[in-house]
Amino acid sequence: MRNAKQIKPTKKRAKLNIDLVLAILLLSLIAGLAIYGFFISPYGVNELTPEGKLQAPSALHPCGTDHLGRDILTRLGQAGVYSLAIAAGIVALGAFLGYVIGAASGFFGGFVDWILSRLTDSLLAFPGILMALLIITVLGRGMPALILSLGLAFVPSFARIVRSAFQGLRTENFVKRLEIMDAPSWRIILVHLTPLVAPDYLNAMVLGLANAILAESSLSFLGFGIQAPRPSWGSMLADSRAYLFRAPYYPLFTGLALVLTVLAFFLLRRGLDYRHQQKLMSSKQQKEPLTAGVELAGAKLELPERLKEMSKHD
Amino acid sequence: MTELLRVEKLRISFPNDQGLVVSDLDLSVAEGEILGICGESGSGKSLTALSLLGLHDPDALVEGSIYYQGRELSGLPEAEWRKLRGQDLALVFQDAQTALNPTMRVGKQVAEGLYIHQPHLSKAEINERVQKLLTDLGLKNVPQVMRAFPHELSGGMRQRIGLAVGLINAPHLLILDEVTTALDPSLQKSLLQLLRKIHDQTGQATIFISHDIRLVREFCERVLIFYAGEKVEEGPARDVFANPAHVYTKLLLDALPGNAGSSGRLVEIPGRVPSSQELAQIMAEEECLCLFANRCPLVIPKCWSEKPPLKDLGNGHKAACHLAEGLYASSWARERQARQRANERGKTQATKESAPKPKTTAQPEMPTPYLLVEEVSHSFYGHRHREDWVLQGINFRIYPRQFTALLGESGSGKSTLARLVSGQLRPLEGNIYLDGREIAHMSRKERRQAQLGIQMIFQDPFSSLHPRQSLARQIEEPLILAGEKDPLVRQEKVLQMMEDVGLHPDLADRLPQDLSGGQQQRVAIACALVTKPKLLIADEALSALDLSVQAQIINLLQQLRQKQDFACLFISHDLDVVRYLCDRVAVLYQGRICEENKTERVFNDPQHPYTKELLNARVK
Repeated sequence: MRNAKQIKPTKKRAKLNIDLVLAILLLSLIAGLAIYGFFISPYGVNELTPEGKLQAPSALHPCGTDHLGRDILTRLGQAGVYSLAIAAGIVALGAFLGYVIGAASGFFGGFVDWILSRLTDSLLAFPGILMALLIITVLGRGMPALILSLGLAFVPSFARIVRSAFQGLRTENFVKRLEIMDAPSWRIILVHLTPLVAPDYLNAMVLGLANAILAESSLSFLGFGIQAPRPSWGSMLADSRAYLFRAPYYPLFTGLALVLTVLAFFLLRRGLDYRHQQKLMSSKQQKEPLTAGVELAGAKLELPERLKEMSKHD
Repeated sequence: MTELLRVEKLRISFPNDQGLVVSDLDLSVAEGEILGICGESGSGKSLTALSLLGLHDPDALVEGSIYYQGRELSGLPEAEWRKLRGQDLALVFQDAQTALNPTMRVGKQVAEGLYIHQPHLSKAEINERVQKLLTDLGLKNVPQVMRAFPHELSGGMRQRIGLAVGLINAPHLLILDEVTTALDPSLQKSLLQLLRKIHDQTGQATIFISHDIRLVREFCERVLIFYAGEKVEEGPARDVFANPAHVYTKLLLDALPGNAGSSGRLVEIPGRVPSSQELAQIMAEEECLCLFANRCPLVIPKCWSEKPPLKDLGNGHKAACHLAEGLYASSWARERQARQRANERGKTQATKESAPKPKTTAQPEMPTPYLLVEEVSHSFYGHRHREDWVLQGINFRIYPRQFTALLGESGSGKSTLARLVSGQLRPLEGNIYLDGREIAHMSRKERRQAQLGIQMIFQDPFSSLHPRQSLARQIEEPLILAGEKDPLVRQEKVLQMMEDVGLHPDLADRLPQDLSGGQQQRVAIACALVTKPKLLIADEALSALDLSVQAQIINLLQQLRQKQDFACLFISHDLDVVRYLCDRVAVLYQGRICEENKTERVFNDPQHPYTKELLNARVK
């Protein structure tokens, strides 16, 4: 006799990580595009091809030509590399500073936390793009200013992640144990706590990459990002606005490149996240029954929650 | 007595995990009966309780029949279940804090049961009933309590509210799942008394689930012993605990610190409970053996080839063991009774044989205490309100190689004192001297240079360990911090320590999550002792462990004590363990030490009224 609550057991084979697969596909596509743009394409990035302006996609120009007669596909490829490079720089800056600030804030608490939080609050107070414009006005347009300004804009969100993670870990008994042994704080943070935060942080960085690409494109669209003659998806979009109805392939392909890249990173993040989850699940199966005499309250991070999960199978 | 609930061939498995948790369970509860279910973690008792109300994990496959008042419950649609739950069958959970809605006032939560099942009642009537129930449960200031939120109440009060939620509709069957586990012993005792009073008043049937044998023995009429998802023994409580007929039951009873034999060592059960996956495999391969065979000291060849049937020993006492009859009639049970009688007599003579303590502590006044706590007072709220300080004027000392227990209830300041001694906090007033040096006001840097050698083990074994570092790495860390530069030397010490605590060297690369609670606590002890500290602080280190595992750890501590020569501040609320393990006892009451003396003196002749109350609150 079956109990009404019983459900058919689902096949628990390793489920295909579609997100990851798609992400890898898309990223390879973008990579291919970049390689084409720099090495394979017969056209130069700013070369005015003899076919003329605003040509529809053809065998010679798979994406057509832009308003100056340049091959769109080539430009898209090169622009992609610049966008990604800048995005990487932005995330590197933001994640690094964010980690340092967040770790100090979360671990030491008290006055340190107060000061650093006010600092990040002030960073947050400015809308990202606006602050970027400010810095660019001061430092002049170009890549360094771009990376600096957007990187700073990203610091608060990274810092917040690290801060809350560290606050949660701070009260764990193994940290207390290390403190009782008078372990230096830097050691606790670097050697013991960072490896715990790393998986989720890397995840956040991938998401940051996606956002960084979007941010850079937005700035380039406004004319403050990557400057001519270097191509950028954002600036190409800006240029193509005027020709939306005359030559729709121009903004279409540009937009598509941008969207697919950002999508690729989103999917990558989800795929990695899922993989991480699967790893956690499978190790849970192999564990032996834990004693669960006393139920613990106050779950903060995933660690105490896992304990509760494990003691459920009593 | 008519039968109220009957369960036949209950089997609970997790197809996704390929795990079997409960197999072929038969049980019955008669009207008005108090049934105890005793078993350690992993035995399946909580899951059984949940499935009786249809509240089990949706991933679980529940097979078998459950009959309530003759009516088949398995296969009931959810709507029917809802009518039964709360009204006829009620379940009270272990942790009231998580079982109650934190955003709803307590009175409303209790009243909810009435709203749902007896909607015809007027608001005033509902209010009246709730008030009456809460008063019956021993709560004071009932109107105030009713308007409170769960987090505003103390643990004991919350638990009573949890009970109230279950009792409000006067269910025919009340299931209590480990309701006393999270409480102090005195609260445990008063809660049990309360439960008994309610049972006498209402005459409802109760299933009392606990891993604490002492409580089950005290409270229940009939008892079921669970092991690895099976019922291994059942019968009238008195009979089962006085004359166990299954080896497992007998071992559990022997593992109680109060029953230490003449050798001084507690009886331990080696090995561990089979995992749910292992059980499923055994079932799938249709192996016929006794599930306890791999741990049983009395195992005979038959145990490996034939599954022991549940044998009837008369008087409703049944056991599933090939040696059941022999055990039942054996002299062992009587031997233990004789031993207990001898203990009773021996107590009045303050015998020194109760446990082998290192002889050096027999000298009463050694000149230099290793740890000296002098007039320490502390508060978390600054210098105001002197009377409300967490700790006031604490004075005590621990001599080398001495085990001193710190007794007290939650809120008495035990943990704060532990944190002060270990250096996590600085006392607002007073000094702490370690081996002559003043340590309370040292900076972190000074402490590090001084290499103080204080270590601590905690209540929860899992959180004491780094979740992503292998065991060997974790045990190595204290050595690295202590300055041992040579990796080979470190490795050797680590392996030696693992052996000393009883961990197989193969486990060196495993992660904490792969281990059982007892093993994790061993790792924590290894981490603590690998640098050979002179002072170990054990903050309720045994409370979260099963009884059999507790015995293992206690024996381990005794062993290491002989081998390594360290003093220990043993914080606990378990009086039996304290009596067994510690040389001296300090009792903490409302921030002050109200009594401190040799263990035997404190137990036999308590001076302070609070101490007397603590000793009386014990459930024997």
